[in-house]
Amino acid sequence: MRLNFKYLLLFFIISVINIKPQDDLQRQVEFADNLYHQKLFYDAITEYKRLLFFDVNRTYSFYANNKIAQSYKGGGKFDDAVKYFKKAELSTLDQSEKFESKLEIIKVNILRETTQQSIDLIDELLSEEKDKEKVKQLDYWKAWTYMFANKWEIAYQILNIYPEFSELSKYCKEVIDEKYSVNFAKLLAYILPGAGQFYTGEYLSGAMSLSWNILFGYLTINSFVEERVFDGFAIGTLLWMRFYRGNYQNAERFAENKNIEIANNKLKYIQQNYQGLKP
Amino acid sequence: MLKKFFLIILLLLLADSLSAQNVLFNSKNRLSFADNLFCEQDYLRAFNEYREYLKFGYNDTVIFKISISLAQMGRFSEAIDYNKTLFGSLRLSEEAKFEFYRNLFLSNRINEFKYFYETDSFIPSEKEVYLKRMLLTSDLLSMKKYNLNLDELLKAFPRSIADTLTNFYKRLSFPNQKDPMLAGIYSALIPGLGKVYTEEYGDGITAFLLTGILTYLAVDNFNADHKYRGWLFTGLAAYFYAGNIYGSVSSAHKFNADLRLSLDSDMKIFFNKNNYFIPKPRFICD
Amino acid sequence: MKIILSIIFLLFFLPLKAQTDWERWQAKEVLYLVGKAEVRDYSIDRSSFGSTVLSSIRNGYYFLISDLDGENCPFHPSCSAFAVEAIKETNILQGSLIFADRFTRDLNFVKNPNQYKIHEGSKLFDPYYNYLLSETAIFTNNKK
Repeated sequence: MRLNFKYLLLFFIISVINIKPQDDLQRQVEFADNLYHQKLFYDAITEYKRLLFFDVNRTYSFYANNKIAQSYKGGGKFDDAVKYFKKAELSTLDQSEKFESKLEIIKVNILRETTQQSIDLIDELLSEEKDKEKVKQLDYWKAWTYMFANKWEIAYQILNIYPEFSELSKYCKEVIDEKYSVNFAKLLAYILPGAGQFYTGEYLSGAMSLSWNILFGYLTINSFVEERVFDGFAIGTLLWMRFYRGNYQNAERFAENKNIEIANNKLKYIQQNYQGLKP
Repeated sequence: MLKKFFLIILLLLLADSLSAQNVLFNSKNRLSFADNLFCEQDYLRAFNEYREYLKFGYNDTVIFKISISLAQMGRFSEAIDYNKTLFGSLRLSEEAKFEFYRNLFLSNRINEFKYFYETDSFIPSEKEVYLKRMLLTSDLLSMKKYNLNLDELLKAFPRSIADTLTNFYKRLSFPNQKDPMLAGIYSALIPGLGKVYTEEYGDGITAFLLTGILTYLAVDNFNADHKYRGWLFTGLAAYFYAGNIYGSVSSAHKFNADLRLSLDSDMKIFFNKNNYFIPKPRFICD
Repeated sequence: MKIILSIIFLLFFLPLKAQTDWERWQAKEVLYLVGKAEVRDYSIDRSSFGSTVLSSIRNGYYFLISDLDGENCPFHPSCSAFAVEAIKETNILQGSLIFADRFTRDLNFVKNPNQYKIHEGSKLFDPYYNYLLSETAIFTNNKK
């Protein structure tokens, strides 16, 4: 009787040891997740890689690859992130997981501002997608792509179709309304030096531009009136034209800079305050 | 008796919880994971795992692989330290020594290389040829022609690259160099001529025209009795005349430096592309 | 079994160049930005009296003229910044001569494409250290 008990015990212990491998992997997942949540992404990747290496049944392959990619994304290493999202996509047979990986790749492309790649991916998915819910998601990310490419009009057109995205489309509309027209600024500057700068709110620069143009314009005309033709040509081409050109280049530059600022401010606001999905 | 069993169970449970550091982290598994990282060229992670592994015990292969990981990441001096610890190793001393030389060579510590090379009496003959190549390559890359002998160079490297090597060797004497002094004198005689000499034709013509126009303006204003303007243009003409002489001299220097730079980059690209004609370190995965 | 395992491993660990991870890196917050507005550097160098004067003159030039007369300089650093650097690194005489040479090269509207490297896609890179009359300085500064 005693002997049997001993064997029973031994059996019990061995079985405990035998259960362990699966248990170890589970613990490894928790360990890696813990590092991930502490934003220690470099170490998290090491542990996810360890998990992948010992997970011979590939139970965690999608999960771990996806997490590695997310870690790279968290470190701003977008190229590596894409590489691992691709691996995650290849490591699963589940259609919804594949779709998720593709969306993640699109999001990384949005963040690293590789607009064309993002749009190509979305269009490719849209061409074979029938599910309305998924089409909506893809359109949503398409709009984000255009927002990051500073093409707010297109983003607005896409978002405006769906009532669920009214908040985001409102932001797009605001940017469109706030933006300066670059061509209008240039046109103003052509007509009256400095006016384009005034339009974009750069009053000092506009006033100085105007005064240089008046001064050199006067000197040029004066030289011609006094029949000093050489001086007239010299001042006209070397100075007046130079500042006149500088004037409309500045009008254009200021308008563009202001527009970038407007877009950046709005994006910053969205990053901090918008509650919906973000790339 | 029963008490003893309980004790054993307790002990076992205790041992289990102590080793609760996952099986994944035992030394055998750590090593295989590290080897895998090494093969993936994830060298820093591999390096960290190997170091953790070494806490369990000594293993010369692991130390060797650590040195290779470090060298691959460009951390040569640390790699060299690890190489040195293997000089007494039974299995890997030859390889470690060879990696030691390679790392000295790659981190451009040629004087140390030469010092060890000359005093070392245990260099195996099959490695001798590679060490010779490293020495010659470093001489070639440092562009000291007087150190080099073409025949020796050709003998040390494969026959297939003889033409390239001869070409490099010829370029080392820089037959097309420009003389900065001469460039300066040319420009002093005729403004811009020095720049033409250093093959900056556009700059030469511009300098000639600029000095010419300023001189003409000066003379013209003096003739028209505009004293102030006359002196102004004289000053400007003199300033640009002097500037052009300076520019011609510096242009000749730039021309010569460019010759050296292009030879330098050509040689580096060539040798780098061919791994300096030295076999890859052992254990590296393709 | 071993073969299957190794195939799985092979499939799984496609060789990857992991150069990103050769140095430890930290989490980095991504900022949503569409680009950067150009900002002129008006900083005054207070390292010595001479540099303070020089950089003030340069700022005055920026404010009164350079910011208003358009995009004229094909070089990087621009002529004014180049002049300030050249004078600071050498002396007033040599620096002015270097600047005269640069000005002449600027006037040459048929620029030799092999003479300069390209800076940030459009500007011609033309740093002062190429004009110190020292082959070694040019060589070491331009070496990759």
